[in-house]
Amino acid sequence: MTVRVGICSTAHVNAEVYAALLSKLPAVDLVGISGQNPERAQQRANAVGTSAMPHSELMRTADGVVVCSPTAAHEELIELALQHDVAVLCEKPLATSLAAAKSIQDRCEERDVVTGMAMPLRYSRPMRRLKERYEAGAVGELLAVSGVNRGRMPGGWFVDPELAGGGAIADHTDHIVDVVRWITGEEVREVYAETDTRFYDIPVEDVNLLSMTLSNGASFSLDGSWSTPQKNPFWGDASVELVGSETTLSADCFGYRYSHVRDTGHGGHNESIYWGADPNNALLRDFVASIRGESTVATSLDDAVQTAAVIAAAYESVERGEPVEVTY
Amino acid sequence: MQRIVVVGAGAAVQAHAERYERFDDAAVYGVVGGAAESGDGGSDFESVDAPSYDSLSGALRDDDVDGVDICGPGSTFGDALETALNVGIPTRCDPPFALDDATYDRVVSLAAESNGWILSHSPHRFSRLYDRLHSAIESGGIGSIGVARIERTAPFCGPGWNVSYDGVSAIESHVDALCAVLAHDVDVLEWTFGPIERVFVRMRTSARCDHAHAVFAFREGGRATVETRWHRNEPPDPRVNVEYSGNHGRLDFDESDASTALREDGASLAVDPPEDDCRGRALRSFLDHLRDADLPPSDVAPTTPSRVVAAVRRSADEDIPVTLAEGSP
Repeated sequence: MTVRVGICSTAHVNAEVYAALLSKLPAVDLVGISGQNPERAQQRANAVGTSAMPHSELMRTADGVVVCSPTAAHEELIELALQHDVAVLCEKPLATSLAAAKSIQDRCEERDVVTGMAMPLRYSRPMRRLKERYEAGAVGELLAVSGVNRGRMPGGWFVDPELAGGGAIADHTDHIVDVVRWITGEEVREVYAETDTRFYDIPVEDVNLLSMTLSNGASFSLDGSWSTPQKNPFWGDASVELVGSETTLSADCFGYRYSHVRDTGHGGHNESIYWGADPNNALLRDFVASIRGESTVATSLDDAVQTAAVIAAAYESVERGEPVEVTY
Repeated sequence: MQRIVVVGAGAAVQAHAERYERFDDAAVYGVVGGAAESGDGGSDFESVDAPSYDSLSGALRDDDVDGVDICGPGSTFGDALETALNVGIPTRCDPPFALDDATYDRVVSLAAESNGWILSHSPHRFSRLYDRLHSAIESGGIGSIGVARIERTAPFCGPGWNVSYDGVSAIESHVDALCAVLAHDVDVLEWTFGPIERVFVRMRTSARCDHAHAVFAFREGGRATVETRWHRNEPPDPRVNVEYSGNHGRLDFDESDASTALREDGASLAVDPPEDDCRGRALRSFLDHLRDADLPPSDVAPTTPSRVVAAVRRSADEDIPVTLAEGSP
């Protein structure tokens, strides 16, 4: 059975990535790309041989959509999808506030529609092996978790607090918090945040250092800053280290890389190329399988609300200048 | 010839004695075992060609000592530190020289009243690597600091800057050990990025290893994280990751950047002769101060690593961020 999938909005940097992957997936018909910017939507659509169309038309055409809009627009687009019984895979974070995230989750629960978050790290093979090793007891008692998920500052709507819900905290807290919750089965209990705007002249934070505790007492640090230089040969990083009473295990999602130094005098001269299995591909395959009723998207909206609560606590910590207990 | 009494635990004392022997203008006048070895009468020092003493006061009895070198955190050898200050002998010790506010105040005040002084820099400052990083930052190589990130395991030996942690193994309390390791990074961070204004830390302990992560805010802006693991029984593989990111670029290195320079059967070997590695250069600087009667800028220099680790302990105990007072050194 061919599944009809669309990309809803081209605002997110991943829209182009998802479109390219979906256009090559077997038994998937990339039926269209919608967006408020018709020119950009047409350009993206042309690149992958599909059509550009308004959101409402896409919802009438597709079985499922990947929502790649600014965070503030998630609610409206998910509501539109629900009205058309269209499955949703939503870019993170779910909403610009914890209250909005809960509201979206409640409405999705009322409808029998496939919904999930676009959190590819749960499909990363290093992370999957890490989870297997952790669950087999290799780490022993978990003492500490260390995570990094830095990246280049994305600009655009990502630095508009109204559209994004904040800066680097809003953008770079979800992935590692989600994957650590998934691996360990523990929840974040307390957050202390140190933030600053040091790299760019922008109205949001680009430094994002979180010091957390998990429900089992383990400490959990996360550097999610937009500190990767724009000219870095790779976009950023995503890794987790588990320090335990028995051993220390670490997983680097993008550890499989080689370097390419160009000597042509054109364009970028130095690039790192990731050659491992693409977690985005596995994420999209799983979404398609979920629409067919053969699978479940790994990160649910319930998970998304949990991470939204951590983000909210981090911003509260910045405001209060002290550690804040996470309220779910 | 500068006559030096070396105080510390076995391996660290031997490492220092080996370096002093290579200097033409220095001689090890005596060695003193630390608290961790108080029961063995200094028997670990048999390979050092100098008399061993049970206490620094015993070694200073002849009154012809020019300097005291505490290899290992000064806080572990607090009695020796205070003894040296009481008789006005210049002292070099690894940071931290204090782990709590009361000890800090007592040592600083004692130094102010004494003819002696204390140099308590991390040997990291004397490594070519950290010096190059420091110079790159000072010359605007990465612009303004945004985030600094340091991860390390301890203890382990060589190469280069790693020898700074040899003496830390004399510490038994996990919090103190973590603080002693953190003090070196704090010293380098302050040296490179200016005063630390605020610290928040979490510590965890187990039978195998202890772990701490600290978050720092600099007074002039920028943030840093330092994460360290202290292994109790078996030294781990060397692990150091240092990254300084600023608005105009990034500097980073890890242990591979140095440990691959000379290897045998997969193990790294030291390249620099001992007198010219970071610790040797730190001792050389101490001797130069003694020879030239070149007084340090204050009675105790630097003081901030100890102030910060005292704040680190308080933050860990009370689960609060601790702000260091404005205008402190």
